[in-house]
Amino acid sequence: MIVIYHCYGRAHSSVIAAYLHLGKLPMQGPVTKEQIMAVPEFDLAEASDWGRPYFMGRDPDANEVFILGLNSQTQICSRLIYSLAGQLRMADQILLVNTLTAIGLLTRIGGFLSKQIRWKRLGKPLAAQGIVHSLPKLRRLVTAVKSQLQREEPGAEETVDYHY
Amino acid sequence: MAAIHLGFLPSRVKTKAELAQVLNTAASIPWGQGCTKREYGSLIFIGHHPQAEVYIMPVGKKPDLVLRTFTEALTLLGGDPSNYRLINCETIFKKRTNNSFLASRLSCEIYNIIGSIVTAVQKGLTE
Repeated sequence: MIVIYHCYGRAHSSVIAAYLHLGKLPMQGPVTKEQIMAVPEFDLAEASDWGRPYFMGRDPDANEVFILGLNSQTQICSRLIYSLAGQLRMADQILLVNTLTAIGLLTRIGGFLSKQIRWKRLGKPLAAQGIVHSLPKLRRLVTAVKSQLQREEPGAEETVDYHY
Repeated sequence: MAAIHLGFLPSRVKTKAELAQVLNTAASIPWGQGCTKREYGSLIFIGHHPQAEVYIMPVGKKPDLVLRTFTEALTLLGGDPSNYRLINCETIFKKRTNNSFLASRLSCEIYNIIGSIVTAVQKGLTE
């Protein structure tokens, strides 16, 4: 299965969601702003990276985890990927997860300052602080994704469609 | 373009009256009056041609990002990019319709340019 965590710029929430999914950040307990800022891909992607899935790793169940920035075209691009996957008979092999639903204003402002205004010294820590605040929601999202992946494993009795 | 490709419409028109008739026919073809926002990003199958399956794909306001996502997702999903021809129908159309006066004067010409692009695409598929 291909899991794609996507957000606006592929620089903040999707990176952390992928890290949580891959066990590189803990699913329980406190995480500091400094830990978030130390993630190499955090606050890294630029506009030229939008639309390009970036491979983050394989989880223990061999699911491939990617991150993707879709700018303001989330709906169109998500529809496109599912449409293309359907055409290639791969629709059941891909899962798109919108991580923007799990983050708050602080991360958005931090991301805007860092990426649009180019004020990284202020924007990056602010985005990281916002991620710390949003961590419970991001963890719940990743937990839901993992549950769905387990249900959809070959041999699973039923499948449930979730729309994120 | 898809309708011309599939032979629903001619690739050339000579007079404005002929063009008006063709546009009238186009309006009655499925999706001939455009797509809704809910269809943006969807691959919409229009028909079979001897050399290819013909789709349309409305891309919205940021076509570059959508097309980049398309090519990247295609590779990710194991599709063969050489099996796909993406034809940007807007390139010529936008350039030609920036000036509405020019557009109204050259409507037949624009149509014929579109027709010639389709002919070139069809020719490319047989080579």
